[in-house]
Parts: sequence; structure tokens; C-alpha cells
Amino acid sequence: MTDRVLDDGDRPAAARGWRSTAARRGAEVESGLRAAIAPRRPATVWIGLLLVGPMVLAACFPDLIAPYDPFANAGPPLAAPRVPFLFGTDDLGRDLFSGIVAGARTSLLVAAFVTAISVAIGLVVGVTAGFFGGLVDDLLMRLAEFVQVLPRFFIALLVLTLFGASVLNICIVLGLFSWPGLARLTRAETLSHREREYVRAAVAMGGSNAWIMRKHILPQVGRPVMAVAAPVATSAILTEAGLSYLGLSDPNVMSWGKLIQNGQTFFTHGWWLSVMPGLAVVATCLGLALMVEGLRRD
Amino acid sequence: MSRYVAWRLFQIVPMLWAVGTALFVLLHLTPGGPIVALTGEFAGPDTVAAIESRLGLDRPLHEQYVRFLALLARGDLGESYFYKAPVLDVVLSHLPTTLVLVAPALLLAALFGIPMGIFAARGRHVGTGLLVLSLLAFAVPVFWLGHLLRLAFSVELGWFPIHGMVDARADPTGLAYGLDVAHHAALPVLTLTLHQLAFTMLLTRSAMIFERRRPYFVTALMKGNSLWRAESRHALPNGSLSIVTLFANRIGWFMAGALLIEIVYGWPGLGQLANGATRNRDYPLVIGIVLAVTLVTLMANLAADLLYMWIDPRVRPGERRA
Repeated sequence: MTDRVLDDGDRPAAARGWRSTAARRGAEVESGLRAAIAPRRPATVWIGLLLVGPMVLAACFPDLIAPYDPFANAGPPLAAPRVPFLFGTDDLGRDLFSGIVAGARTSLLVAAFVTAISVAIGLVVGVTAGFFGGLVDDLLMRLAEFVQVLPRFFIALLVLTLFGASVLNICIVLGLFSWPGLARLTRAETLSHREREYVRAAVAMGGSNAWIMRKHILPQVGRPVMAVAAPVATSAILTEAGLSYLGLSDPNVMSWGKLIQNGQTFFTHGWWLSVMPGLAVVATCLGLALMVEGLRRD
Repeated sequence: MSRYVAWRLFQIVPMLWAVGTALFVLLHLTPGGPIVALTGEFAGPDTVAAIESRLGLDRPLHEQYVRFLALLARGDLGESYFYKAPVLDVVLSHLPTTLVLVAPALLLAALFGIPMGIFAARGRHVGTGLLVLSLLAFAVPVFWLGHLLRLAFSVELGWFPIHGMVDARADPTGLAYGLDVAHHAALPVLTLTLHQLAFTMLLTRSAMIFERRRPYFVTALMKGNSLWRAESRHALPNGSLSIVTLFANRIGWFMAGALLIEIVYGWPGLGQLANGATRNRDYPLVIGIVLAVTLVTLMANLAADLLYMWIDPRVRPGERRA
């Protein structure tokens, strides 16, 4: 994850000239291969799966896993964690375990949608910039730099305040502002494929630009980019948690940030109320990061 | 050099224009248009009339747009409904309080993170520990970390105050006031520092590992430089481009953390202000805060570019080899 942030695309425009093109291309090819090959640390992948798997199950089948309705009064208020309330109950006697199960769906939904939107934008922008080069490349990369610098969290804060805090709105805003890193990597990958024989052959055969980009370049650059989409997903989860912690979430939808916020009010009465949902966030993000870290080669 | 600085400063103009335009479009896209966006659904006729005349809502759209940009350029963001004062004044009055948390945390993170990153790049055996640390740093929500630290150090151990910026029961002045604020600021600053520290350290480590593999580093060692000197005087300046750039890129994320941490610790800065503003539906104030933070992040990235030019003469235009 940290090596990825040091890709050449992250260096500002003024500094890019001094590294030789050959060296840069070599590094790009290498980084492309690195990300595309099978697991290097299988154990890491398994730990990651172990952490994320239950969350995915909870998100898919909340009714089968959650013992109670997350919004309904299920037991005594502020009961400590023990059977039948695994994670205790909150101030209104709602089962915290059921709340966390319900929150998994929100978090993972946001993560999936944001990642999908930003991967789509990132691939299109990156392939276009890398394929055409020149002015198109310059303009798109300046745009990417600009979007990267904008404070996503605060833009989401503004949009949710103006348009209402729904899960859909969060997904759209974060998706529209999370793509620059992916676009830069895609561009670098595209550059490394641009001059290869098979692309030249396709040009010689009279393939249109759009067709070459779609049929030849996109499949090549897609996989490495997928491998680095994890930071987008984790930061989407963290941002959603932060926003719902601020109260910017759909009141009818359970969310981990909301649970943490509610729990903090009662920190002298029940430590579990804010600790448990926080652990859920950490487990999910850590699991996602571990899976990707294990799939990467460095 | 100075021409380039001027050019870089000039480049911020299209960015500001883009931000202003985006805001204009957003306000007009809001269901109900700018009036609902700025006042909510139940505004009195006076308020509606005031906004109509200020934004010229009866004029053609392009005229509204120009007027809107002109108002923005003058820093006129309207009046906060809750505070009954110009948004700019309210934001500016809360900004220094936030800086009391933000500035020390950023400085501490850089001050400790960079040397730690240099040391971490030396050995392979620290790899696993660092990997776990780095993954944790990207997985722990900062407001939750702050809450845990407070549970441990304020509630259980009682070393630090739980809430606020000054002790409400005492009214210290002078040095005692400063100490009281520092006592209250310790935990929030620690949380923010930890959050940024791991990132800074990993960043420095990656950059240093890259630089250490290059021939000039070996040359520097062969010429008799100590390891520390070769790292800090030769490798670090060369690697500082990515460190400075990405440190600045993260300012937006860091500010989001600062906002949330203020709410956790009841620190009366921009974060608390934003929290109140979203809950009160004080739209002009929310817009003002978001614009202020956007401006800060744009400026931080600009400063990073300029700082980098000062560090590395190679990227100064005009002095670059052909």
C-alpha cells in the first residue's frame, strides 16, 4: 500500500522530467507484473479473508445472523456483553450485535459502490490519458492532481448537508472524488503497453482508437488496478463512518459510525457501546488491506 | 525562480474558479434551488427577499454566476443563521482554535516520522512490525482512536481532562491559561499525531529504500560519510519530493481527522462549528467551513511544491539541464 503511493505519477509535474524515460518505463512494466501475479503471502490473504468474510456474510444475510431487530428494544438497557446479548445492549436496550450486523451492509455497500465508480472513472481517464498522450494527457492529469488535493470528506459533508444524507449520495460523492490514484496507475500501465507490438499491430490492422483501448489495453491494465483499489474501499468505509459519526447518515439505516457516536455518550456506563462497532470498522479495513497486501508482490 | 513562484501562485486561480463554479452548480442543483439550499424549507419572506437580492436570483443565470463568483472573491458568504454574523467572521474566529491542535500535530508527525522512517529503512527485520503498523494506521478511524485514548488516559487513569479546551471551574490567566490549554490539548494532539505519524514514517521509509539502492548513495558512503550523514544529507533531500508531496496531499484527510477529533474531545474549533452547523442546517456556515478547508488544502499543496523547489534545484525551471 505504501509503495504504491510512491508511483511516479505522484511526483509533481515539474519533477517528472529528470528521470530517464527508459528507467521509468522499466519501473512501470515491473510494477504491472508485480501486481498481476499470484499471492506471495498466502497466510496474509487467509487472515484477511477471515476478517472480511464474516462481514460479507453479515452484509448479505443480516436476517439469518442477527438475533434481534437492530432498531427494536430487545432486552434491558446497557446490559454488559454476555449471552444472549453477545456485544451487550445500548441505552434503549437494543442489541448491539444485531446493530453491527446491520451496519456491515451499509459499510460494505458504500465500499463496493465507491470502488466501482472510482475504478470505472479511473480506468477511462487513465487509459485515455496514457493512450493519447500530449495535451489530453496533460489536461487529464492536471485534473487528477486537482481532484486528489480536494478534501473529499468535507465535500461529502457539504453535499450530504445540502442534498440529504442517504447511502446513495455518499456513494456518488465519494466515488466521484476517489479516482485520481487509480487513474494515475492506469495511465502508467497504459504507457507501458502503448508501444508494444500487439498494440502496433492492432493500429496497423486499422483498429479504431476506441476499439484498441477497449479490446487490447483495458484487459491488460485492469488487473493491476483492481489490486490497488483496496485503499479506495477502506477510505470509503472510514469516511462513511466519520460522516455518520457526525450525524450525516440516513436515520433509517444502521451504520457503524452512528453506533460509535451513540456509544460515546454512554462511555461511563458501557465501554462496549463504542468499542465494538469501532472494532468492526478496524477488522473490515484491516482485512481488506491484508488481502491485497498478500496478493501483491514487492 | 521568482517567475516560477509567480506562475505557480497564478495556477491556483483556475482551481479557485473551479471550486466556485462547482459550488454554484451544487446550489442550483439542490432540490428547490439556492433559496432552499441556503435557508431550508421554512424561511421567512424577509430572508428569502434578502437572498434573492444578494444573489440576484431574478437575473439571467449567467449574470447570477458572475455575481456569485464576485461575492465569493470578496469573501462574502452571507450570514450564518445560528450565529447571526457574517460567515467569514465566524469561520475566522474558530480557525485559530483548530490550529492549536493541527499545527503541533503536523509538526510532531514530521519531526518524529521522518527520522523513524530513515531508521526503518535500514533493516529488514522491522518489516513485519511496520507492515502491521501501517495497515493499522490505514484501518483505525481517528475518532475511535481518540475515544479509546480518552477512555484509557482520562477516564481510567485520570491524567488528562475529558472534555473541552479550558477548565470551566477555574479562570486562569497568563501562563496558567496556556498550561491549562496545553493540558487539555495533549490527548487530541497525541491522537492526531499518531494518525499522521505512521503515514509519515511509512512514506519516508519507502522513499529511503528507493534512494538507498541508487549509486550516489553508495558513493556518498565510500567517500567516508557516516551512515546517518549519507542518509540525512544525501538520500533524504533526493527522496523528499514524494515525502513532501504526499504529506501535503494528505492534508485534506488530516483536516477531516482534526474535525472529528474536536468533536470527540469537545474542542471548540472548526470541527465543533461544523458539527453544530450540519445539525442546525446552517447552510451558509457549512459552505464557509468547507470552502475554508478546501482553501487550506490547496494552499498546503502549493506550499509543498514551493518547498520542494527550494530543497531540490533540479526541479527549478530554467535551471534544469536541457
